[in-house]
Amino acid sequence: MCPLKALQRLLKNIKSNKSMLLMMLPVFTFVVINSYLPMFGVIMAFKNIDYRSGILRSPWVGLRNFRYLFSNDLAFRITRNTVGFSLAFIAIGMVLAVSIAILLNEIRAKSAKKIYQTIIILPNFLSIVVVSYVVYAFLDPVNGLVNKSILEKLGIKGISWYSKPEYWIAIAPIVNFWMSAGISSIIYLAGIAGIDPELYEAAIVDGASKRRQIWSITLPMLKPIIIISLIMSLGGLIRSNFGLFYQVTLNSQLLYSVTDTIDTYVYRALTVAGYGTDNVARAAAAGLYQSVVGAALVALANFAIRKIEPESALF
Amino acid sequence: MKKLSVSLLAMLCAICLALPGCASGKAPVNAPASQAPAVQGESSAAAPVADAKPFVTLRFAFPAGNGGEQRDQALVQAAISAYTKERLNADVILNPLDWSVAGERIPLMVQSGEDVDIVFMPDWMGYYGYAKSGAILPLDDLLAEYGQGILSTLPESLIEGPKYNGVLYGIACNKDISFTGGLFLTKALVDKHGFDVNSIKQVNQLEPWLKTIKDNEPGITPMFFGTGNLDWLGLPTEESKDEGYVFDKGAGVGFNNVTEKFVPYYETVFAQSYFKLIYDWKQKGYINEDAGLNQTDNAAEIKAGRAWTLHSSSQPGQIETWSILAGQPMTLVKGRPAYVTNSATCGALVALTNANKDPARSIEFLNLLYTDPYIENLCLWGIEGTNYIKEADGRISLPPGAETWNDNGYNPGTSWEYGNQLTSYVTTESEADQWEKLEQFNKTEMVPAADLGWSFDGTAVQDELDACNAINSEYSSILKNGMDDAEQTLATINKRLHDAGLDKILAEMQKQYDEWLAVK
Amino acid sequence: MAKRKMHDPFGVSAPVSVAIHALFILFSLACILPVLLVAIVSLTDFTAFRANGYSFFPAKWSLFAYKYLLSDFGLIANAYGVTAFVCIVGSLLQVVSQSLFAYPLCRKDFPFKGFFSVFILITMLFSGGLAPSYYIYVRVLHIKNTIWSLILPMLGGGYTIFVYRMFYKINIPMELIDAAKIDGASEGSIYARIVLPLSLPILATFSLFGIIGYWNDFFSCLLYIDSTKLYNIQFVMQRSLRNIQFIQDNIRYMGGSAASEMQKITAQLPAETLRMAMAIFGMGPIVLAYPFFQRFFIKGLVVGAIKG
Repeated sequence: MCPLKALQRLLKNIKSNKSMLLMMLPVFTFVVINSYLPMFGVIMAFKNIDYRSGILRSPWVGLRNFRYLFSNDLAFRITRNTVGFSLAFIAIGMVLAVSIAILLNEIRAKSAKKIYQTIIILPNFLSIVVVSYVVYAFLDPVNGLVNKSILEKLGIKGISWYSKPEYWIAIAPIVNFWMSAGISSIIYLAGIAGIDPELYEAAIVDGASKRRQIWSITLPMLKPIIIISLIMSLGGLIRSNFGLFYQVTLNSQLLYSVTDTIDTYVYRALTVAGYGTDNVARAAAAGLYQSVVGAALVALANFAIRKIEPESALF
Repeated sequence: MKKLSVSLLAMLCAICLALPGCASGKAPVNAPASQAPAVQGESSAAAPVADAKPFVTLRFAFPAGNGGEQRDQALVQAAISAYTKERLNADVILNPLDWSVAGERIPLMVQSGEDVDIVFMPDWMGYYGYAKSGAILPLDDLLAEYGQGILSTLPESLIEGPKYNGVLYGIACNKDISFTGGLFLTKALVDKHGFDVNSIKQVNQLEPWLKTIKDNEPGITPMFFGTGNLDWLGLPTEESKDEGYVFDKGAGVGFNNVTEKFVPYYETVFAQSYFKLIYDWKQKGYINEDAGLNQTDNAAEIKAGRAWTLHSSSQPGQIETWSILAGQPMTLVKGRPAYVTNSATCGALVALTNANKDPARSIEFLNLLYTDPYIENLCLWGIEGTNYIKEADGRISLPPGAETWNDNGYNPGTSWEYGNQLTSYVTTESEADQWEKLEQFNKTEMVPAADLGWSFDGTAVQDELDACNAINSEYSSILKNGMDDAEQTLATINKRLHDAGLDKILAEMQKQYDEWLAVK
Repeated sequence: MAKRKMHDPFGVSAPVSVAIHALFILFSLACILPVLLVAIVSLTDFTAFRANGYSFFPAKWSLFAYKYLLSDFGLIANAYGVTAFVCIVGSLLQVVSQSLFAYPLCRKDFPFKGFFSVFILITMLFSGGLAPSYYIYVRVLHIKNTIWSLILPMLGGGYTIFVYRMFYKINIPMELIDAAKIDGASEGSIYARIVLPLSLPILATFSLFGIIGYWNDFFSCLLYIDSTKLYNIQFVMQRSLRNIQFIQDNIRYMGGSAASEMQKITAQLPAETLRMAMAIFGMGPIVLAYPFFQRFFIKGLVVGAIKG
């Protein structure tokens, strides 16, 4: 299209949508300040930062700062752990959050409902360090509640929880759901609150069972928000909850084969003896790597959704 | 329309990339400071009279208890400003950062080119990285010109140690140069079983003691590995007593201080014997089962009567401190001597940032901290009469109205960070000859590491370093705490290290080291 | 059957209801027991804790951790004020600006919706890092040590905007908007009179999340605030712990008597019980505020508005 015509068209569009564009101004400003202005930082990933010349004029070093992420035999392990846990957390977490919302909604007793709702969001407010203490109180091999108060009473020898990586395939997700399922369900509760009761009334008149109602009305009405959440979560596929895998595990080296994720690996790589490595650039490189993969996944997922449910696509 | 959207977005991004460059007239993480310090120094030296120096405001950022909210901060600052105006025609403003935030703030200040001229910058806040990347200024010429007081006060090792590539970037605080390692034991049990703490020269010699305690003192862990200020004992094992002390340089690299050779750390006689010993002791129950994992404070465990020992660094006065914290008299088995390593000397450094407005004046100010006890103590202890009272024997006590040193109006607790600690005041809660003892400690007990002042440029072997670093950080805790079979773990780690290119690293290190030696 | 329909057309059968309750009771127990443990430990005497570890039945109770936490009452009161202001103003700003932003995105006739969607999406995936943000706030905007540095970092967009957009698309029929336009209503009044009332559940959700987010944020305070007058409550609590941590981490460099004094000070500070007290304290207000928001999660709230 001829550039002049396009520009004319653009100006016309701006003029006729003035008020709506104005509505977007506040967030636009905030986003420019908070996200786009600092965005120049991503180029640090490709540079050997020299403060004398400043970021913009520091020498480019291509992909050198990314090498530490891939250059050794751990690359596979950390990726596998990160992706594996992320997938589990996303999939199972979603099922749990939606189920909780649906079930909560079926409770008639208002006060019971309120109490449950309040209690299940509590774990989300404990800082991850406190969570690690709580988990330790349970899993301490010597004095922990599990070994001492449960297993011992049953005559089973205490398990050395922090030495056996296989258990953590279950422990990490359990801790994760315990912390987040409650608060994640809130948004689905809001979603259900927005469903027109007439739909249900009509279904009941048709003789639909509860299960059928949920399957045919509730879930489809929640589908858009589920899809958005899924796509967004995919953006974080190769990120992990650092606190969970570093602090809750007490950074036990015996568990690394399962609990070492990209984020914990980066932390280890950057905090041990420097020998003059450029940690700022390397941290930026790790972040950029995770961002690019996440963006690609989101784009892919969005593309797929566009074919199936175009209304729910992000763009 | 879609094409236009994309190009609009691209334009937006481009604008945003360029915008910071326009901000404040300076590009980010950079303040194109004045010319090279040497030039600056010359021009100042050429100025005939101090008054000819233009007035400049310098900001000095460092960690402090209570940050900038000491009650009398403004009063003390006024006194400091008056002093610096008179002596230097400058206003040196202290910018104390609360301990809780200093670790994050100071690096950000340096990276973003904030208006801070002097910073506390020890190696654990990134000193070496900033030296390499030019975020802090080289100081050799400046010190020669303006810092004679510093150069004559600081012991040689504190000047050589923090050098990076032969150039000094940080001025050390004049305090204890290094610290020894030791094993602290409860005196009661030592006396009860007639142990002689001076007889232990090798780690193995502890075994009969541990056995005795294990057999005769039920409920007490002979050797407890907990949390809270712990360190290495540092004594050789019986097998390694002739090997020479080997420093663990990280990434599986060891440096033998006697032979001055770089060796695979986990293949040294010490590593092989020591870690197996630890694992053996763990199996025998001499070491607590949850070593390396627990959250238990070591001293508290002793106080509760469940542990006998703790490993710690040992400075003069440490026994008394541990005795108080453990709730009973402690005694000490001396461990490794006070090796003066690079990292020991870099524990408290002051550097000039790239954004420094007047390096010469900054050094002059720092110089005064080392030579003029008045300004040193003004910065550390505040104003006489208001924040402290001087006693006859030279020590200081609380001013009227204050119950503890926390409410005397000004107590940032920074004597260990900058300046000449040996000229700072001693409170009546400590011994009057505290600094004499420290000087004695410094003079007599320091053992310089052979590589003091040497720095390694890892660019040639970066990939191998990363790989070995990752491997090392996977097993170090397991070995140190006896969490898994030592023999197997050592075999695994050694194989992996060699496959990852440890030999290449060692060769490169040796090469650079030998070159450095030749030049020295 | 008919009777049940009239009284409770949405109900489940009794056994299922019991099962659901049982499930939630179990889940609630699982959630509250650890929190209870944290609360009990926070009330445990420090020496008893060090001697006996985590226990639901401490040997000795003590309010020391809370006393220590709240010892500087003036500071705490001020911090509460700061936090209240930041939470309310920040959350309000968030909700208003984000819901406003999302409205044009849901309109099919808005030509820029693709552009702005991608605009927001990029910010959710890419970040410049901490140092550049610090640079912008401190050296470009000069908002260091002001209350704006506590509010601004969490303003912007992301997940919430897409959820708003989705909510509008589903729940706000285009006919309603067209009708209003025919009547001559401006976009602004359409938003205020049609969109907002129909979005109550989602507005409530994100107000709550906004308040929670601002409440929890101590990091902005850590980075940008020097004056104790602007400390927020989470930071004040974190500060005690971080001070202890700093001392413990660096004690070997502190040397001589300075080290001993520091060690003695930190040994008397009940780090673990303090941390637990902080956790309980931190969750208190939110837990108290949540029931207020719960009324918005009642089914039929939105439709009632339309019908009415």
